[in-house]
Amino acid sequence: MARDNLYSKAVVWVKITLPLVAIGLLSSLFLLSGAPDPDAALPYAEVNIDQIAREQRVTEPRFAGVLGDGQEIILTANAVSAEASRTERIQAQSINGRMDLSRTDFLTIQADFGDIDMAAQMATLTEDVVLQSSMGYRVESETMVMALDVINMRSPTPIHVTGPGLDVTADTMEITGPDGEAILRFNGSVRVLYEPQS
Amino acid sequence: QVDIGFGGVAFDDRQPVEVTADGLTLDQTTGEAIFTGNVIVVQGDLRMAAGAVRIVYGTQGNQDVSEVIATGGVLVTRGADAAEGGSARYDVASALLTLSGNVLVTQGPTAISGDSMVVNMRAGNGSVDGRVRTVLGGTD
Repeated sequence: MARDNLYSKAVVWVKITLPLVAIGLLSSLFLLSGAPDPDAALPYAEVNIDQIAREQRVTEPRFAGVLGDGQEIILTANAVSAEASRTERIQAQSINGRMDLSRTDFLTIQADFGDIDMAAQMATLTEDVVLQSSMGYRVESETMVMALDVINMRSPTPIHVTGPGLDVTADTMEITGPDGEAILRFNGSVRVLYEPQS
Repeated sequence: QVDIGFGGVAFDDRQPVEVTADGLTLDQTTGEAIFTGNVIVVQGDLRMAAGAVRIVYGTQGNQDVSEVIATGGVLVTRGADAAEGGSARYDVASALLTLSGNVLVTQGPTAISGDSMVVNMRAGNGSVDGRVRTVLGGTD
């Protein structure tokens, strides 16, 4: 009999303590938690509001064109903006692009800034312009002026081309591609270091 | 015909080549590279200066040079030997350097002139052909 009393006493105590603990837990949810800060609730973007209003901004824009006989050129940028007055001139930041040279070969394009003139179909890429071709060549320059409707690229600033066993530096470079076959022209103190591939 | 040693030592054409010029045109269609404007080609101890140099690549497309053609007055120097001519042609496969157009070869005190000169760069010797005139410099 005593064992039953102990059991029933235990049940009586549990019936009292458990709800009290539940009430305590529940109240701590509201009493102890900090007052919600209305300001931090909605994080605002620190962006120049009137700059956005003035410019027509497009983020993650993608520009595509077709060169010469069917080769495609695609330029994507982080952000693009154009003055309200002249919408055909577009300033783009951190450009990535790809340009087909022929059916198999292509060129990837990277640049920090770009000024795309839609009317003249010309793009002027500036600051750390890097072109990498599928044949393993890498072209580095500070500025590259590219036509967007025909294969014609010009780098008026010093250029550095590296490739398998090849290292070329020159003052200026020009790539023209009449009827699809590209002709590279380097001018001004050209220096070529060529290691014959064994 | 007069046999000449040119540099004497066999020439390794697998050494790196350095070319400096005023202009360079790479033409994909013809697979040629054309250097223009006081071109200087240096490979190992061989040095060639010319008005223009045309490099023809192998057609099998393995990007290896098959022929080097220099025009516009060529001066080839190697060690103590020097050879001048109107134009020069170097065939990589056979390692034959042919200079043509009133060639003048100077080796130390002696000077040999003729119409053309052929040098086997691998063996390091060659011959001067045509109206050959040799001026042996006396060792005074």
